[in-house]
Amino acid sequence: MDHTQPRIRIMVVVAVVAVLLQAAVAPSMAVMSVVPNFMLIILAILALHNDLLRSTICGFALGLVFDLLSSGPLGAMTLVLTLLGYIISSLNKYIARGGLLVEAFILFLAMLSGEFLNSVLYAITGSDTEFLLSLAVKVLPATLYDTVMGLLLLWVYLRLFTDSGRPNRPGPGRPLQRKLN
Amino acid sequence: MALSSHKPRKVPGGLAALFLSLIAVVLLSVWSYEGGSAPGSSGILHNLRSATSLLTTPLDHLASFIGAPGKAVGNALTNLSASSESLLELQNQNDELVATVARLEEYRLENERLSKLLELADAYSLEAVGARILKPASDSWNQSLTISKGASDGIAVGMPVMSPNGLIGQVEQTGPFTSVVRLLTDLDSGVAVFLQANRSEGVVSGSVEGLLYLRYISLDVNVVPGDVVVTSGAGGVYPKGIVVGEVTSASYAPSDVYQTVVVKPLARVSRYEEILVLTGRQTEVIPKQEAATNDLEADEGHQSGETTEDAKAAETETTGVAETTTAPAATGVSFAAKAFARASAFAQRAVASPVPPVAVAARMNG
Repeated sequence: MDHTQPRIRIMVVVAVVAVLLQAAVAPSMAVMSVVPNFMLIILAILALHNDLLRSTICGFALGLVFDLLSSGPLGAMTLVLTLLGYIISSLNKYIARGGLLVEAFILFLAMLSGEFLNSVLYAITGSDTEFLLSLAVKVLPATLYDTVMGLLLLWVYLRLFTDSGRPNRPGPGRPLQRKLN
Repeated sequence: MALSSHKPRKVPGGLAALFLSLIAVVLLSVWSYEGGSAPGSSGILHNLRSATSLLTTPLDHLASFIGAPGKAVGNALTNLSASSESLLELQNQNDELVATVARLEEYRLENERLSKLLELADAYSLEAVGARILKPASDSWNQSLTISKGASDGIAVGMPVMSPNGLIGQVEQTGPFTSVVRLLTDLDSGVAVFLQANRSEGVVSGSVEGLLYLRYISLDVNVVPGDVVVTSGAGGVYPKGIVVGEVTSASYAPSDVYQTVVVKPLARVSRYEEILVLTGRQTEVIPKQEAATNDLEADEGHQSGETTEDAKAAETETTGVAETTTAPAATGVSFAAKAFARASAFAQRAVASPVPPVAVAARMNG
């Protein structure tokens, strides 16, 4: 039985939800000018549960949409999410037995590196940013905010699309997964 | 047999990552080549982003719908927390403001007379389009707003945007039905201004922490907290005299060349649901301006051209918005620079009165 198609379908549905969240919900969730990056969060979650190629392509697509929606440098988030999709997914085989805690830790690292790389690209493309200041007022608060939202969404993802709500455990799947199948 | 053994080739993830990363780098390079985030930049990728706004218009309205209850709750909580003491303070402030408005009205009338003397049209007789704020930026790094009016309503890239309290920013991108406004507090914003108290010119720019900094103020200038900062009109992008904010602190180290001046914006964007986009000057005023321009050209010859270049260069150097002068008021660029030069000379000669209030003759279309 080919499990590829349902997985791709799930991936597309979750990616579309990420776009909707980023465009319509995230602006209302700003705390001290820090907005959650749902594209980054969802990409990290998807990459944790999918193979290299799909995660990389998904990262590229989500990053491109993010760049088109925002008013920052076009291509910055595309590059960040493409690289992160590949890197996180390549860690899959090492963290498969680690469980939820390891996934949460990887999620935190992904948020930190994603926000950090983005700030570096902003600086490279000419924005007048002071490195330490942007680290303190943007990168770290955004990382924390993204991680909190990420843990919440990871829990939802595991409940909806994996058996027993645990990561990387194959099985018949939850009702929503069966429906998508 | 050969056919049966043929299997689709699997693309390695590493190769795909490399290829897609290269595409992303090319996109970033082209974006930077097109002018990056500087207002007035154009090219394929900028046009692509503008075109995308047509597709995301329903999402923008959805975001406005989602954000409305939160905003209402926030306002209600703020009102509930207002004590009787603060209400009394507000009443006193209101009384003071009424007196100030009356005094400023006198200044405005005086300014009208002086403007006639100079054959300059009232710089504040401007056409404006009212628009509704749909949503703030959807990421942490940009300070921007999406508004409910676009190119079909006459909005163009580079047009100044203001609230009843003062300047908010500038139109950065337009779609058919929505536009994106870059706020003053954005990293890439820059506005030529002067201090109302002593006419010292500088540039107000945003920062990563969301504060406004007034740059290029010499150490010998006496800057006091509370000093009002207004647009100087240099560069021709923003009309002269729009209130930007007030100074909250000024400091410098012995080795500094300029002071570090922090400005508190008077226009708090989150408080307003409607804003004004200044689309241009009133049509009946334009011939007068052109006439004044012609007179100035005859009077000043090439000197006025130098002034234009100086004004552009100053704003370009400090803010990186080289193209901004071409966008909103292309017809009035040379006029604005000349008017600025003339007004500066006039100010040096005689007038030391405060800048008049902004009297925007707004044609509210929305």
